[in-house]
Amino acid sequence: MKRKPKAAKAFPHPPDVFSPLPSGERVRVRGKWTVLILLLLLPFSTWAIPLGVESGPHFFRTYPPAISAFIQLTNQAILYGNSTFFGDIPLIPLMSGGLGVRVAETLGEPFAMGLGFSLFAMETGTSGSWGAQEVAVNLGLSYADLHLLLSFSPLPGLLFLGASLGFAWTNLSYDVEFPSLPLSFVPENGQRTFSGRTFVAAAFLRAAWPILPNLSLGLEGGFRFALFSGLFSGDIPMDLNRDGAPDPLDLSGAWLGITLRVEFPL
Amino acid sequence: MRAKFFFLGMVALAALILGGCVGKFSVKAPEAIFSLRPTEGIAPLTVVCDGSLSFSESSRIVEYIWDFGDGNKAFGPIVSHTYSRGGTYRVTLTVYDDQGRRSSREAQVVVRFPKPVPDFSVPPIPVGTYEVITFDASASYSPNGKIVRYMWAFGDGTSAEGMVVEKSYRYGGAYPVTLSVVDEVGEVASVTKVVQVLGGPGCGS
Repeated sequence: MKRKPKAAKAFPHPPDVFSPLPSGERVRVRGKWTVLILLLLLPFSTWAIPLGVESGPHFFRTYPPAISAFIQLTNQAILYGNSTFFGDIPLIPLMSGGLGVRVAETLGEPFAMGLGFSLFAMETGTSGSWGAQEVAVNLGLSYADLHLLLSFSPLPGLLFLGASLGFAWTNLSYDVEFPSLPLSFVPENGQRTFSGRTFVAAAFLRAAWPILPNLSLGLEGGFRFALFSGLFSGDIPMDLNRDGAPDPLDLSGAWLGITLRVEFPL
Repeated sequence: MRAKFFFLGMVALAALILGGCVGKFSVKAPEAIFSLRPTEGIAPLTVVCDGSLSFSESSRIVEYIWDFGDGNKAFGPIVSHTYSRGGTYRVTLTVYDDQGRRSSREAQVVVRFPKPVPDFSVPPIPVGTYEVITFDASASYSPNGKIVRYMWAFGDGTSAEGMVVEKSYRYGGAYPVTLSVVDEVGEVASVTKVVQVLGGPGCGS
């Protein structure tokens, strides 16, 4: 019995033995890669590719609901304790913002891409005593992210629009000493550090003023989406409000910053 | 120059708007928090439950629903409830805000059973040796229900069980008679009374 030469009939060109795809399909895939590579190289297609290094302080504004709820519940417990024991322990200020820094390096103009990282930290707490009963509540939050950023400058050197995508890490240090009260909520005593990580996305707008050749000062505003589904201290999930369910930590929020940008024409 | 100021204003405006709106992006449920006074005691125990510490950041709390854990409920920010029987009860407060959002929180009340009250009669006058004395504990009672066990210690090293028991002493003297009762929930209580027996002491005593 003779076997039919299947490949010769099915395709007009002989199939590539190294490719699982038919040759026509391969051409389309190659075309996609070419377009992608061209797109990636687009920012560098000008004769002089500027390398921009940007850094500066930024004020980050956020109201993480899990921490806000914990602080408000604890403040209610402090109010109860103050009225019961005639104390005057100050309430815990809400965590609403922190100071940080952003640093980025980008290549290209008007389209640019690069890498950047952000850091910020914030803390709050209170302390005092009701007679012999000591009260101390301290929370500290630190955040860091590393991101890939893309930006576009509709007015080269003056205005930048950008977006970034990356990975973020956060640590929440929890240090609480609180007496037992006949309340449905009192903060759990202990000292722990909860950690978490997540993806982060951000968008920003920056206006810049050239102050020296290749040096500009900018004002930047943006918004970051960073939702940590859960933080853990070892195997212990963060449950600040003690409802039995792990608390997600939403650190999404806006920032306003000052940016110093140095350009190096390559 | 005008363009620069325009863009500066845009950036500042966008940041301020976004910053100011952040708190509104997340829907916040009210928080139920309450105090209990007392959190433990002997039945019947009246507990005052104060939910006025509950709060809602973005709205107003309009309803407080209490579940006392013994099948009873109540409404209102401050209520009281009496537990008639011992046990560990979970008090749950559910608060609703004017947007229909709710949250619950619970706390525990430990109500201990009261002790039974043991009692028995002793002869009002001294009895003689070998004279049979009837000890009757039928005056004993327990607020928790039936008394299931009566235990006697007659003070001479002997003991017996039962609501009504008989006993005679071989030697004269003052004997402390102790009645211990156990009720149906396991609570125990004792009482001791002295019985005077006329006659000489035993050779060994």
